[in-house]
Amino acid sequence: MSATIKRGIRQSLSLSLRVPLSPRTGALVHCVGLGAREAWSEKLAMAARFLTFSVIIGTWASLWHIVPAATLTRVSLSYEQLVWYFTLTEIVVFSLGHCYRQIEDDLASGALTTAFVRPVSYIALTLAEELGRMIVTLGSFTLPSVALAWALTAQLPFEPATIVFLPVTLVGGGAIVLGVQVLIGLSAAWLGTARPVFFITQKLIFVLGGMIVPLTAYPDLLRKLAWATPFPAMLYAPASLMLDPARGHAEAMLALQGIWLIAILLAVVLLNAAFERRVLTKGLI
Amino acid sequence: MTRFGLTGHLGWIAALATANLRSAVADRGNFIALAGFMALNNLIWFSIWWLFFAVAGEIRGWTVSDVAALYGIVAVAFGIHTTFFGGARTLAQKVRDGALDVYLGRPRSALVGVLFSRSDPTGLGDILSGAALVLWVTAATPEKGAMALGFAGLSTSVIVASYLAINCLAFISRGRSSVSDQLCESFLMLASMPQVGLPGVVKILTYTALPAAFVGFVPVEILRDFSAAKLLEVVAAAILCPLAAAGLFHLGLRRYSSGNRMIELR
Repeated sequence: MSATIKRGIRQSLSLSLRVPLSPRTGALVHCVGLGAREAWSEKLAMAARFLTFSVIIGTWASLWHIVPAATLTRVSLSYEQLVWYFTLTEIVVFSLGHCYRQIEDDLASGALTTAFVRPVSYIALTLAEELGRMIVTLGSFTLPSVALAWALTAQLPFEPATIVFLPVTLVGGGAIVLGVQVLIGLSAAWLGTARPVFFITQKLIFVLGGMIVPLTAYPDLLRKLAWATPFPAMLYAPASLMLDPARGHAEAMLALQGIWLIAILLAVVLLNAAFERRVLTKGLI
Repeated sequence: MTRFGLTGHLGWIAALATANLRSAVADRGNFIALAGFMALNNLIWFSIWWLFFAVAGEIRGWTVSDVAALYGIVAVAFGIHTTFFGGARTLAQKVRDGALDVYLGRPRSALVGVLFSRSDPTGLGDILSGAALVLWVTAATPEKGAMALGFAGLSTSVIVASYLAINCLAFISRGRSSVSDQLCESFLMLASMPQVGLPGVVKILTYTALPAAFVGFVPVEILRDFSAAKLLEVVAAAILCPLAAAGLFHLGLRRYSSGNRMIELR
C-alpha cells in the first residue's frame, strides 16, 4: 500500500474520530480500539490460532472428501458446500476469545472493585474490548480462510446477491456468542466458577449450532430442538448462505440474528444488574 | 538418579502423584461438579461424530464405534495428563516468568518437578467419560476394552511428551504462552480425530514431528485389526517421544534466564 493511501486512511480515520462523542460513548469506542490493537499486536498467537483452524478445516475436509457424492446428494449437499459451510462456522468460533474468563478472574482477584467506581459499566467496557478483538480476528481470518476453502474445493460459491450479507451475519453470529460468553462470566458470581458452564455451552453451540453438519441434515427431533435455541443464529445463520444463496434466506437469517441479539443483550442487562447487586451486597467470590 | 537411587525417585514420583490427586479432590463438591461437567462436555461433543456418521455412513471402514474408541482413549490419556502431569502445559509460562528457578534449585529432577507441578480436577471427568466410551464400544469383547485402556496409558506418554516439546519452544521464542496453548490445542484436535484420507505430507507429520497418530488413531487400528508391527510402533512412540522431549527440555535449559524466584507456595 502506498504512503499516500496510508496517509489518506489515517486522515479519514482521524476526521471520523473528531466527531463529538459523549464521554460514555467515547470510553466504549476507546475500548473497542484497545481490544483491536491488542489483538493486532499478538500476530504470532494469531498465526498459531490460524494453524489450529487450518488443522480442523483440513481434517474435516479430508473426511468429507471420502464420503461418496451420492451419499451427500441424499441430504442435498455436496463436498464443496460442506467445506465452505464449516469454514464459515469455524471462522465465527475462532474469532472469539474467552472473555468469560476475564470476568471470572476479575471477580476472583478483586479487580472488579475498582471497575465499579468508573462511570461506565464494567460489563459494557469488557464487551467493547472483546468486540474490538473479535472484529480484528474476524478480519484477519477471512482472507486466508477463503483461500484455504478455495484451495480445498477450487470453487468460490459466492452469489453477488448475498455476498453483502456474509460479513454482517458473521459479525452478528460472533456478537451473539460474545453476549452468551458475558452471561456465562456473570454466572460466576453465583456458581463460584464459570468454566463448567462455558464448556457445556460451547459444546451445545457446536452441536445445536450445526458446526460441522448443517442443521438441514439433522434428524427431525434434534433439528426442532436446535431451532428453539439461539445456537443456529450463531453458526448456522452465516454459514447457511453457502447452502442457500437466495436473498430471502439471507434476510431471514439476518432477522433471526437480530431477534436473538436483542434477547441476549436484554438478558445481559438484566443479569448484570443482578450481578452488581450481588457483588455489592455479598462481596466477591 | 545416583544420589537418591531408583527407589528413591519412584517414591518421590509416587508422593508427587498422590499430592496432585489430593489437591484435585480437596474441595469434594467442586471436584465432583467439575468432573461431572467435563464428562457431560465430552459426551455432548461426541454427538457431533454421531451426527457425522448418520450422514456419511462409514469412512474407509471406520464407524461411529471406532471413533468412540478413539475418542475414549484420547479422553482417558488427556485426563491422566491433566490430573497428574498438568505442568507440561504450563512450562512455557514458567520459562517466560523465570519461574523454573524453583525446580532447578531442588536436589531432584527439575523436569519431573515441573511435570507434576499442576493438577486439574476436571481430568478425572475426562478419565471417567473416556473409560465409559471405551467400555461401551468394547462391551462384547472385554479383552479389547482392557487393551484400549492399556493404550490410553501409552498415549498419555505421547501427549505429555508432545505438550512438553511444544512448550519448550518458549526457550527459543519470545512469543506469548498463548502460542504454545494454540499448538497444544492443534495437537489434541488432530489426535482426537480419525486421520483417514489426510494428504501425504500431513500424514507424515502425524507420525513424526506431531505424533498425534500414536495417541488414538494407530491404537484403534490395532483394535480393529491386530498387527504386532503397529503395536511395536505405539510402544516405541511411548518410549521415544518422552526421551526426545526430555532432551529438548535440557537443551532449552541452556538458554533459560533466571527470574530470581526461589520459593513457590502451593
